[in-house]
Amino acid sequence: MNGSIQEHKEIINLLGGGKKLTERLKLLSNETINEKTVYSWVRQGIPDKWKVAVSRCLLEDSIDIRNYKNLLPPGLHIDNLFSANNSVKIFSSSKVLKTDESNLQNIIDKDQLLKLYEMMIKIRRFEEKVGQLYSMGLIGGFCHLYIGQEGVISGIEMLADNNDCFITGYRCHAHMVTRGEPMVNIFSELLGNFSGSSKGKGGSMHMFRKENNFFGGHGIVGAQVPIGTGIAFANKYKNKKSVTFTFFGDGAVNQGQVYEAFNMAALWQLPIIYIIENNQYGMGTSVERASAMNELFRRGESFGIKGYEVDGMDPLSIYGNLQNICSKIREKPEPILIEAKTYRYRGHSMSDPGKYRTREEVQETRENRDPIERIRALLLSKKYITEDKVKDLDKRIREEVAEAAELAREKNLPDNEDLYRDVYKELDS
Amino acid sequence: MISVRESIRDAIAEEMRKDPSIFLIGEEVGEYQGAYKVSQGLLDEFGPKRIIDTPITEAGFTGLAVGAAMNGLKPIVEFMTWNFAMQAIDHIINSAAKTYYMSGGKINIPIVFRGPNGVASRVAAQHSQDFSSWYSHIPGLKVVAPYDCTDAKLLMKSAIIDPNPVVFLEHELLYNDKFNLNSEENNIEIGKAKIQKIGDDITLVAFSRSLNLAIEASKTLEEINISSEIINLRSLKPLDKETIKKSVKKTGRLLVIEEGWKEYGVGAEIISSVVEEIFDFLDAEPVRICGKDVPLPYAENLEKNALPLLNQVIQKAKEVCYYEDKN
Repeated sequence: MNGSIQEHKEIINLLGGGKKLTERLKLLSNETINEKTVYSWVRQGIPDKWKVAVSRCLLEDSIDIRNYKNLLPPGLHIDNLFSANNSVKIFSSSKVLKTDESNLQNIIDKDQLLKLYEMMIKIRRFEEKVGQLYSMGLIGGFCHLYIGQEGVISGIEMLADNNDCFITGYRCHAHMVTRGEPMVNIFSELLGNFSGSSKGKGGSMHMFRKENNFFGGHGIVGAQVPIGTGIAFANKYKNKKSVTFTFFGDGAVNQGQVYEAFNMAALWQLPIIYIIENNQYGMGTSVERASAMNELFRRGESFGIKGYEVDGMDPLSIYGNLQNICSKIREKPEPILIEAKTYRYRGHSMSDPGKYRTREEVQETRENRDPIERIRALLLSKKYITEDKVKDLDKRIREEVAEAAELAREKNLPDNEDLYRDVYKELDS
Repeated sequence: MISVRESIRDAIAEEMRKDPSIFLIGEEVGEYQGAYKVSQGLLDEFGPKRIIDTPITEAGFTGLAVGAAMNGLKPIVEFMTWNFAMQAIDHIINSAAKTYYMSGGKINIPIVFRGPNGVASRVAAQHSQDFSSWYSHIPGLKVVAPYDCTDAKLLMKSAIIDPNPVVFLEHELLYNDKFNLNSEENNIEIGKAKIQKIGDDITLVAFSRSLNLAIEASKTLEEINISSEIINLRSLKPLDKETIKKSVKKTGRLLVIEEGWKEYGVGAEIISSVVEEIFDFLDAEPVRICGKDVPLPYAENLEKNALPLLNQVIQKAKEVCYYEDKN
């Protein structure tokens, strides 16, 4: 390691020092970079994502980069540098977006912050109630709860409007809630009632709210990624300014069709934001055990898709960091990849014994990174709300959820004749 | 006279002129003018926004087309052959066929999946397979298999207009065949079969290219005074059981010709339905002449024998009509 830092220091000097190198890198990359960062490399080494750009500078100066065996990132052969002129920009485009607390806390006003808090607490109480009903044997089949991940959808919702499109996998109750589906309809669907969102025919994994452009609710891991890409394709075809938010998990990222979709989205510059909700486990398999390269936000680089890692446990970080990215896409369509690092507190589904992780790991995340606690603390510290008012709010949401669940429990099973309805849509006459 | 290939293209063009939400997407459909030239001239007329060349990425572009259909467009997806659609079958079945039902009727998928199906010529097993029974097995899909130009043109128009996913099975070896368009027909309802020829003694049921065998066999049978009624299924799902049953009630005999494999095939479905529903009208055992249960071989003689043969159809028809050759 020390050898490589020594070598990098030498390279920076060869290229005219930090200041000059900064200027050269700015020209080569579409990412912003400042002198301070480049100077820090003298002590810390050149990070992987800038290595290709630095290599190109060496090449431009006719310095034989083969002398520097620690420069090229793993997997990249020297020949790549000669063949692909544009690859530098692509390679250096992904990055980790840090949360600048002081700045982020000011980007949002009191009303928005309260709205955000309410959205998250509503999802959590809703999902807790679903868990209860499931344990009572009232909900059948598979049931995947979103508890712990509330910050991701809520942060995204702060950026989105009703014309924007949403699609996700089977962990979809929260998306239904935030897209405005009345909770009673979602509960009813889970209970298999005719009054449910899908008339009791879809269940937990197949829910849609077309009026607010939520396109489901898909049970096949990764299938929603090309479908979401097609939704974005249609928006571009119709000259709509909508952005399509396509959610999938760290498990889905290893499905081949995800990359087929990335390729077309980049090829045709579609207005889409792919959001990897990385909750660390695809069912019971950790990211480390499933993905050869686990910086998932870089999975679009070979298609020229810029990727960003954000703290998915901090909705403000999502909102603050993605605001500009999102508005740019509205003006000039392109695909973007976001990896939201998050965590689910419950099992993969209700039948998950959770043997693949420790109780302490779950407990630690709950105590230190919980998105709801984070926003509650902020509301209180900014004195936007008092302790009592928070309690009132929590109580009101709890009551709303309980009331919706009670209403849904009034049995109204589909008629037996409904078995044969909705297989085919009738031709419009 | 016009070719089947042109009839399909004309139907697509006519509907595209009427509705800007229709687009054609697939490999080589644009600049190359279609791997089998079905989309010839469409890029010139409609431009690259609506005639979309894709990378070789069947799962990807099929899923993408389903998403576009969910969001208000009407895609026509071309598979260079249906063999390649196996890469994308999850989207055809799980994403397209089931969504209307799973959403309780909220989200329909108006989409056409089309391309050449069945045997081609000497391309061996991976490029020669009849998928008729595969897709006809799936609730939520409609499946059509045209024979002549009238079938091809009018069924394509119906498929495009249909608000559901339609699997449109073309036949490569019919593309060049020329027919007169029947000016008396201006619409073919999906789910309705056609009596291709009226007869009294035996019902021959066929679809797509197998119609050729039925028509040829019928001529030979006529010479020995066996009058055959030929049913051109046109649609495989919904299956027009009424037309089949009506004919079998009249003739008392049923022979199904199918290029696909015999086991679990379209013929099996048709014969089961007839046996279940009008058993008493049968004067002889219902029979089927199908593709042999082997992957399609390359060698010319083996390929020929793997498929239904004319003499097999004639022989079987004679048997069930209790006809005895004099010599």
